[in-house]
Amino acid sequence: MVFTWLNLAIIVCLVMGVAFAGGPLVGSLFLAPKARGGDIGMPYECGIRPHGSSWMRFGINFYFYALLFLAFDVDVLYLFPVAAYYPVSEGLLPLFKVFLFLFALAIGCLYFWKKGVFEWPRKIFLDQR
Amino acid sequence: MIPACLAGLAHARTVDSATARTGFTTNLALEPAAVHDAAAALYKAGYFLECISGADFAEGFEVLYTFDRFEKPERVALRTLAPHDAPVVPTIADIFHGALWHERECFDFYGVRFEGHPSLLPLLLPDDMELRPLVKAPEARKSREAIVFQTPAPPAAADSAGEKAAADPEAKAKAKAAALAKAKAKAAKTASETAQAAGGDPA
Amino acid sequence: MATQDILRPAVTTLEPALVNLAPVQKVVDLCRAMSLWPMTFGLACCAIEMMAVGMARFDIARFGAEAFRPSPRQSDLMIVAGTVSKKMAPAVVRLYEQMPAPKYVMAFGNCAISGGPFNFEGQYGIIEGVDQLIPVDVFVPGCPPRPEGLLEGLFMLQEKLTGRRWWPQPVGGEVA
Repeated sequence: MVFTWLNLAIIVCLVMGVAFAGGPLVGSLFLAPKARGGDIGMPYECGIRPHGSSWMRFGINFYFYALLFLAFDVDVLYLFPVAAYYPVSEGLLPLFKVFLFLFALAIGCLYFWKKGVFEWPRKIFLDQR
Repeated sequence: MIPACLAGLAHARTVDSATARTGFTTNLALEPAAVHDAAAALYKAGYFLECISGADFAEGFEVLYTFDRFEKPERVALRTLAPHDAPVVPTIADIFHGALWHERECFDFYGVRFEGHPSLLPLLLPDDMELRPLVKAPEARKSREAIVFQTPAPPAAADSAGEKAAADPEAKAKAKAAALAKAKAKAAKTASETAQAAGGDPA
Repeated sequence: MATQDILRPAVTTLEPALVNLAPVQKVVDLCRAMSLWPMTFGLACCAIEMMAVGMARFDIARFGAEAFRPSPRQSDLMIVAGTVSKKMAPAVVRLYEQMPAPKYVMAFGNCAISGGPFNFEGQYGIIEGVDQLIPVDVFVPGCPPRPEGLLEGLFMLQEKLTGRRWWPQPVGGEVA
């Protein structure tokens, strides 16, 4: 592998990005005084003692969106090698195969549309505390 | 003038006072047990609750409910008296939900407990405060008869000085006139004090 | 409330910075003074004046303090603007303790300085002066102080941090 100036530039960019984000954190570690004692460690809840659980239950509607995302994410993953090979392919048959694949995806999309995942339901029933 | 919805309330005593002076078209004194039914009747008739306030009198804690209407101005006042040692009044929070906080404030400052209130916690004062700030010292309490019902206080009973009973009919007349004019026990006291001063000289 | 808070003054110990060189701290203090982030702690009428300061006419953004953070974790100046009641006092103390260092407090208005009009014999529900609970750096008197008063308090705090006043004195406002 050849190490060119471009590789160095990319590495320098990465290091600068990390330094930009982490520099102030390190700087405050060295330059700022520390406050200790009292309720500084208590979770912030508008000045009152926190009560109730800090975990919240999600509505069941979000399950659909998680499933959708997973399915289409895997489909896009399979499209990457297709995109890489496509320029060197010959004839109309690869195009037909790609369209077949996309048709299968579209059928799935249509199924979810009819199921109503693209509408936000009027009432979302969350658990009462 | 009692509105039709409140007609037939047992033991209702009307407070004689001009509307122009107090702003109430109806001013009734009730027993604590009758408050809930009166409030239900007023709710059905379309009144809304303005305020629940209180006062500390010698006879007990008075809880004053004021109601009004939107269509035409007609303020109705209901008063109940709760004794000092066991100040309990039934709640009207199930009829007027706005009373939830008013009753909490009344409990906070006077110690009057409202039976049936879902959560009678202090509203404005810290939870652990035992002191009920608006409760007066027993000697500073005024008479409810004199202030609310404006009965002229009998000169003998009104003052702590014992020789008042012996004082002249002119003191009694002066006290009555003063009470009718100003309608305050304080006025009767000062009138009878000046009468005592005036009557003490020739005596 | 489930558990009741015992009212006590704030306990905060401040440890100095690891790199405590004077020139470095001078520069850092200057940067801090020119971008103090206030915490919105408006409790009563003085809060209106604080809001006015944040708006266009009196504009505290000129002096760096525009970012009013509601959370103590992200602010360094706590402007106690208003009356502190005994019911609210544990929250004031807790919020002060939850602020990270360096932190400063401005007592804005008479109620925060001494209880204001509520300072009388037999006071049952108001804390007479927030400096009974938390250490105060600047007192701004008034009932309510004018928005320019809050700005002058900010300038005095900047003077406390950096050692000098950076903005011109208003005409007629020079202290003899």
